[in-house]
Amino acid sequence: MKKYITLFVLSILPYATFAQNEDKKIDIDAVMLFDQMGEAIGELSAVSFHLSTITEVLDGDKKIENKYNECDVKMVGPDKLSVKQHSKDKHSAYYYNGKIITYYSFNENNYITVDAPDNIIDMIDFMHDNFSMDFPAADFFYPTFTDDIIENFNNISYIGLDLLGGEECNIAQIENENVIVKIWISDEAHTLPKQFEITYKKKDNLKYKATFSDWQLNPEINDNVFDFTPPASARLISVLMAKS
Amino acid sequence: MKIQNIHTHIKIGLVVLLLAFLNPIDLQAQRFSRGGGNASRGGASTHRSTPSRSSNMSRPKTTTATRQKSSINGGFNKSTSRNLPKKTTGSTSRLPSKTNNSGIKNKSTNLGNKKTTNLGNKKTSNIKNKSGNKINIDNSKKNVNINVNNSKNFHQNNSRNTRVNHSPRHYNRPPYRYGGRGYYCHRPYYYHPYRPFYWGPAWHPWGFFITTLATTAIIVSIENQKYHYDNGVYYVAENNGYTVVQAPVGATVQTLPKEAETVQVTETTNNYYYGGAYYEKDANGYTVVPATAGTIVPSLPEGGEETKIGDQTYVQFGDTYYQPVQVDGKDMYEIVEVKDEE
Repeated sequence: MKKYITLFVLSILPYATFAQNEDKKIDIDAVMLFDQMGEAIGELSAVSFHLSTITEVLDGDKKIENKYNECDVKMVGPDKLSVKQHSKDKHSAYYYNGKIITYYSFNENNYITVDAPDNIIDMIDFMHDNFSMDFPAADFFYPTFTDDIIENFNNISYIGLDLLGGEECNIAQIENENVIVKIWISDEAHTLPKQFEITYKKKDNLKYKATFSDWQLNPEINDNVFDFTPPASARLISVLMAKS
Repeated sequence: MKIQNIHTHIKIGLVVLLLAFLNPIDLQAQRFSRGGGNASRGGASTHRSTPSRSSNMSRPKTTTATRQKSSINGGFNKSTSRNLPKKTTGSTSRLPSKTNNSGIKNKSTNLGNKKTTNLGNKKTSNIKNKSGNKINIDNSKKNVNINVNNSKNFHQNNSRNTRVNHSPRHYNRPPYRYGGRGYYCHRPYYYHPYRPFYWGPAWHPWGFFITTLATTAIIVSIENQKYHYDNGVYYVAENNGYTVVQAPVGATVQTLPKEAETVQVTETTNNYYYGGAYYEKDANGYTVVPATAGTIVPSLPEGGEETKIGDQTYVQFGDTYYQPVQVDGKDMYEIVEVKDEE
């Protein structure tokens, strides 16, 4: 109880420590927290984790419907990534081996393969820019995570500690005109993200929530995990660019 | 001076606390209404509508000290030019203290099996732009160099025949959106693999070459181009033979093969469909017309290309996109209406 009273009193201090720069409110505790997490991620040479996501969408009657998705992500620095994702409507995977990236649809048994940049971050940018393809929780793995937040959000605040799934987490919140993002970062042995929740302010306040689990740090992952071998009768198809 | 600062902070704190008690809703509303600038990179989710960061936005200067080559992201970068407040004297960080920033320790977890594989699959997808041209992407510079592939000239020659008329019916379904375009269909997407249909021994797919024509072939001229028509197939003379081309819009013929089917365009209009071509019947015969969006066809000829558009796979013939659908349990295709959108 004493802890929560202390937190309540401390909660007024941000008004003294917020930066007032170009209408931005930046809580330095949140920035330090993001830096800690960024440093932890930047030290990883390999990682795997599971991500469970819930996306709110409006159905035909304008009622909120939840879409669930499960992802398994594996990375080996600097140039290997695999993502397998499974939801009710979609079962797909990405395989990136440093040279090419393949997107395979299990539902349709077809795939696209394109030449890709030679590192994970450039590859993610490349796929997003050219094909509007996004990777789950990619923001957290950008080496400039904190600076990106500072640049793109006007409100950055540290909320405090709370338990999430039995794990003590620091909570921070960032906000701009489009979204509010609440981020839970583990306060236990590893300063890694535990959960984040995006509220889309201009889209009926619909939410997207993603929860990390099963973090494995610097595991040994064989290269063949990142190579795609087409299943029997799988078809290589063309792909349309998102931009002209 | 220090005491004065502390007093000031206490006063500010008390005022804020008082305001919070007086009107908490307003305080919350104020907080939620603030903001501006771009949202985070789209990679935060697989949700298509996640806002994304422009790739050409200015980035702050970052420390370039030691880029860790084997790191999953090259190592954390921290701007040296952050304009952040310094901690006020007397205020302490609310972050719990840690003896080790990351706490990362190596684990020897073994994922995957040990056997090595030989990556034999080096064939890559055709990348197309909105004009249907195949392009090469220089991913080292992130530039796009358009390189039109004209190897299949019969597509280019007949591109005017892949134009799609608007659907006269209103779309009740929202379009599938990708790359600034809306892909409208009356029926839901239902994937089935593209298997080109073969209309019989007299039928030949586009690009097919023969040296001699059947004696039943007739000549049809459209816009100073001479075509030879036989059994639902159109040929142009070239290279000492005849190459099959798409049916030219405007051509009128007296007969269609018996395999021609009627397809519904509107509640009151039907087209005749054979070999990927659409015909309207009138007193003069059967006239080739452009495809009309929303028309359902049971099968498609050779010459189409399965193309991934975002999450969906369409069959593309020039400017015509066909969405796989299912009608009464049968696999069919609906002609897509493609519109540029904001």
